[in-house]
Amino acid sequence: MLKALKMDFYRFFKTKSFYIILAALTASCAIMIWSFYITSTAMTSDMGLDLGESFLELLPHTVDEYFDAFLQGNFLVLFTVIFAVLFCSAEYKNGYIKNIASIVSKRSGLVFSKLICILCAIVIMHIITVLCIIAGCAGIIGITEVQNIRGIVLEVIWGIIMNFSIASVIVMLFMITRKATFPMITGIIYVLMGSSVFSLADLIAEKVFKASDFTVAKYTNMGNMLYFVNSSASSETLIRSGIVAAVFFALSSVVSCILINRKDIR
Amino acid sequence: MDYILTTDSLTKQYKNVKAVDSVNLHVKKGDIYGFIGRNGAGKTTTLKILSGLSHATSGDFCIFGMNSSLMRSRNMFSKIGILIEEPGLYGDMSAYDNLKMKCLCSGIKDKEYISKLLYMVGLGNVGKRHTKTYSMGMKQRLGIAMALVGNPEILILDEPINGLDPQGIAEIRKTLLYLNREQGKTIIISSHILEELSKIATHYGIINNGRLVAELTPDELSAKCESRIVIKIYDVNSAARLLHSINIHKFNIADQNTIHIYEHIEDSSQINMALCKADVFVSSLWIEQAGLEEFFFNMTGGADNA
Repeated sequence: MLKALKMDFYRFFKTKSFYIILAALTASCAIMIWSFYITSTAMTSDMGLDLGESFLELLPHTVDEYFDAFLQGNFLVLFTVIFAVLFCSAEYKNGYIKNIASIVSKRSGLVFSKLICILCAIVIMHIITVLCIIAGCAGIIGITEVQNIRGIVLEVIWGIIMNFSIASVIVMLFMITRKATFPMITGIIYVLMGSSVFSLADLIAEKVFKASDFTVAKYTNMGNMLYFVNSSASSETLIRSGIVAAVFFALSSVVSCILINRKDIR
Repeated sequence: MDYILTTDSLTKQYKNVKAVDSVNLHVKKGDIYGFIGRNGAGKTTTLKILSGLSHATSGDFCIFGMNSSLMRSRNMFSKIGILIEEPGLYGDMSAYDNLKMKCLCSGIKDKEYISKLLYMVGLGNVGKRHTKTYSMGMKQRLGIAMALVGNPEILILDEPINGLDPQGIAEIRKTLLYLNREQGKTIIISSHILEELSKIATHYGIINNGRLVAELTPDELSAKCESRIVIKIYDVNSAARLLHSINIHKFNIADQNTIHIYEHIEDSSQINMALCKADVFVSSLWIEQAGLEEFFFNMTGGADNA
């Protein structure tokens, strides 16, 4: 696996898509900060925009609130999904997999090497996000105040864990279909329409199993990521989401390994 | 026999279709084994199984004296270089980077190794260029270089000269002959260009509809490709009657102006004289040997299938 990992890391740093994603991430941070700044400026100045005092209070005022707002926008998980699909599918798309599939001692190593590279990408994306938010807040609107450092640290750590778990599911979907389109579309729809998906799942659970207080989102990695993991999450929530992420990661990794070993390389 | 690769009733079934049906190949060390078959005959599927990319539905193969399970557990597939269908390359990376990645995956650390490989296949001066700018011939040569990473004992090349111009074909032929003769590599090569294959192959395997229909050496092939007298003539019926009258029965009428005679090859001038005396006008007459292509057509059910 170490040899496969070296190969994938070599590709990781040579691949353009990762740098494009980092550029898009940086731009997203800048645009979010700028849009909040424009909104708050419009409300506090004489430009005539009046959405009420309560709306003004909802806008972020500190660096950690800006970071929290960015994560709630699901940009990171969206970029994670895109990168995971692009990184996994490249060697199947151009046929490079034929050069390496038979020379590795165990093909499972190819799955884990990809997952480790994706984990690195997720860590780098989180670090870039934190730096961009800090730099953006200081540079664009002059905010340097951080109220909840613990919240940011926890959110980063849990963000990495949850994103990694989601990426492992995306890798599994790719291993099932061997096509980039299905996991890409599924992942993006899941991220963008997660609330509708979970509301529907809750409704089905209520109608079929008569489980009125059951929340499907609590027991899925994406659900925890979208609704429960934030800077003010309780320890109980963090532990539950960590366990859910670990279970999803373990299951999808096992399935991916079985598939890469059993399925023919085409 | 000292076989480096054999298969035992190798079969691959996709739902109701048998892509490979009880194939028994025999490849000796140092051979250039020409694997011949029309599109969809099962060549690529067989080669994919032998290179560890696909699993056989039933049957097994033995390479280096080991069966498929042992090959997998001992990681012996790394001793087989493969180029299946078109070369798998990252277009936005250089040839050097593509080779570097395979070297990393194979555990090769020698810094000069990649340069040597690139020079061996004639890409020494363009190794830093993105492979998407390469011509088809350059890509095929890079594909062979990829297959050579790790110094494999066996090379499995599926249609390596497809889409190449005559010069490209000649370059690949030269490279393959060098690898076989100078480095002792056993090469299994499939191709549609049969006459080209006949210039390098030391053994042939012919596959049709998933079944191996013949396995033979060039000498055996020559023996099977009978010599014949070809007569171009205006009146084939009169000529046929005359041939029977002079006791020549082993001939066939190829078309309305052509007769192929398969006996008394050395008496072609007497046959010509006999036809002229009987006022059967002969426009031309020559002796020829049926080529690999014709033999292949006969074995696989005619030219329509090719």
